[in-house]
Amino acid sequence: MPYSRREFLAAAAALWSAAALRAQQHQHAHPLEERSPYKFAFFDGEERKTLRVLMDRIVPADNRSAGALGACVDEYVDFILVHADAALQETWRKGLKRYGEAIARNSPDEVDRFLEQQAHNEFAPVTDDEAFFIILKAAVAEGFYTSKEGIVNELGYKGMAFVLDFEGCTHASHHVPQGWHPMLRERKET
Amino acid sequence: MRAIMFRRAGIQCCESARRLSRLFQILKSPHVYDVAIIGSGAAGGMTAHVLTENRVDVVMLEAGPLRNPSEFPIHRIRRWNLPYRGLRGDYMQEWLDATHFLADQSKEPYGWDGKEPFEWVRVRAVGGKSLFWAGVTPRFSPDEFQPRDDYDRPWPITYDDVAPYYDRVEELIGVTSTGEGAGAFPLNKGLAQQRPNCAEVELKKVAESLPGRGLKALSIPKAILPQDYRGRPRCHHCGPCWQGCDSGSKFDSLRVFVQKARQTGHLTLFAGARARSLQLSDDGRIESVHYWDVQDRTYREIRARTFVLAAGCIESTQILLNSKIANSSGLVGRYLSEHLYGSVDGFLPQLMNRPVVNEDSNGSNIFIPDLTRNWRAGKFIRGYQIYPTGGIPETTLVGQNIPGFGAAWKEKIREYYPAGASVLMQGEVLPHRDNRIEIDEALKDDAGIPGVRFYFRLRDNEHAMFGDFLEVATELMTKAGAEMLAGNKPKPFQHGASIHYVGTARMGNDPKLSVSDRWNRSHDVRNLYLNDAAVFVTAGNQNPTLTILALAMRSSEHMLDAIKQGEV
Repeated sequence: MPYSRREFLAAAAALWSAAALRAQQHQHAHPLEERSPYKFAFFDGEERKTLRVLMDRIVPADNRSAGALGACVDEYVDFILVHADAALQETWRKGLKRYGEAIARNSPDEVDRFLEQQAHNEFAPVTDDEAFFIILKAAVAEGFYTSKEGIVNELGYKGMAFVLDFEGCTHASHHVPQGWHPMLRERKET
Repeated sequence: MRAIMFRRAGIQCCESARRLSRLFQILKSPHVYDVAIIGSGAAGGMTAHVLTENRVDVVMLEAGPLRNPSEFPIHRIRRWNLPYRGLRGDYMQEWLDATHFLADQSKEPYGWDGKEPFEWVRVRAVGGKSLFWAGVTPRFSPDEFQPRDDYDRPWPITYDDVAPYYDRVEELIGVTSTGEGAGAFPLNKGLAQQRPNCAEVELKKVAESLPGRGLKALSIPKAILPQDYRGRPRCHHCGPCWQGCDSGSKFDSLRVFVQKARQTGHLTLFAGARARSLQLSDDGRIESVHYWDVQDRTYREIRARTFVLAAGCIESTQILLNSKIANSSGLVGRYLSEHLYGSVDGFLPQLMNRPVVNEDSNGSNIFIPDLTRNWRAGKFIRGYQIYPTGGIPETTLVGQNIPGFGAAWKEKIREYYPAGASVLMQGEVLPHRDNRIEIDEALKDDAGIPGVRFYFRLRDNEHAMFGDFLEVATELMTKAGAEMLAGNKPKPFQHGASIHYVGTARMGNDPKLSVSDRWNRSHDVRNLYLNDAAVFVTAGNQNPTLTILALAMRSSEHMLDAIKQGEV
């Protein structure tokens, strides 16, 4: 079936969110109740090293949270990829290899500049590297913002805790913050 | 008490019973109960409540174990404990799976036809799905019993037949108030109202001012206590109720019905008893139920004079089909329905960057009832309702749609995080003869009981209804000033996502066109009652539990009369 290059890139990016869906339909997932050290089953040592450098720049630690490294996002991504289909696995292997070569021996600032270049066409990627940035960022964001580190420390979620009396909204009105402008963007679907 | 004593005696002689069971395939029950109830959820619990209050000797079978509420996982399992973090497939399903309260699909498999999976939740514990429901208790409106179209047969009963039972159920279990009725949607007999959060207030304001729509947002009626009530404490708003309730402030069958029924001494409970089939005697009445004793891994039998199926719509139907009874109409398993779900999501700029507070409450607080005569304009029949929702959620993935990365990008995510809002629909899937379950002999469980396969799809009316919802929801969100993603085209949720399975043994006056009569009683087998949602003729667009409870109360009282008159 003839695919345009653009379609191929879009499909590859969409694969991240569809990853492991098939796996879940066929197997029971149970919670990691007693957390034993995670055993990496997809990434090799070099790939993992590259991923850790990259994810630390995408979600750096700060005074609120320990960032992607502290949230062990590499473990989550590894787990998803073990259960993903071959096309997505291949995309990650190739992507991490290219990125790894490009950022070898780079300082954190240099890694930032490399990622800024890849993010240039974030919502309309043209090159393989640009397409991989989308997948990488989606995976790291997902892993971090669903971790305890992300939910409790970064977002400061206060729910699932008892309150004596839920009063609901007590404000007379709500106002749009000054200088607010829409910021959300989406990848163009082909 | 008699029954409990008997059960104790039964335990003492269980060794010899085990030896006997090797000689005879089924271990025979020496005692004949008045009524055997299969299932301990809302329907089974209500049935046991009515019967034991009237000193009827009742036995109840539940496939799962009896679990102490202190064992309930409630909010102890968090998103980060889940391997897929609730993002691959359905969050609720992955969460419930993690509780070990669900049927293990590797031991009790089921299937579906073709490519569209059907999500089927089977809670294995005394109390059934009522342990994990969200507690929403709208009444069916008169139009939902007697639809104003000629698509299909109406219910054999009207709103007026059920209304007195709605009143009594609401008083019995304690529900929050709708505050008022709207259109055909009736006012309930509730306590205080739910209090809306910031996003809900914003959306309510806009919804009620949409020109030409005539929408009205009401407080959601929920079986969640806003005050101490009948020995149960008021809600302490610890989070979404579908994760269970530790205080019993939300109605569940275990604490409101089953435990109290046991205290009367008239209820014998067999937990870990997975019903396989009902056995007919020569006179065409059911004389016993065969069940799989999960603990002892053997088949046993219980005898009774009257039988009540209350295992949940699908499993009750599975038992009927495996028993090959009560199906002269050929309709057992057919007309499976549920609710059509979809949501339109966005961010309200007026809620951006506000302080993070606990807005969980016990889930949503307001809804817009079905006012279809204002909306539908002939595009589709039947109706849907809308939940305008928001609040500060457990997580957000808005970062995917914010350019960049690093510290500045994280700050922007924090601004958007408390501003999320959604408009969710719950609509009627028309009853269709070919939406059904069938027994598939290839899907046997670990006891050798044949499982079910789903054949289910949405048709033109549902697609038209969904299209209308997208129009209304988009208008509502846009007028509220929401920032939305244009390319994000909402799709109906996966089949079964509502967990509101209804209709596979529908009621009616004509035995050729229905399985049960207007009293939930089988046309074919007169000592069989179907007390769960299997008898529903339509799904309406209301959550089914209150109607299940009302119909179960009604049929159980009818059964009492029949018992007194020696009819069953």
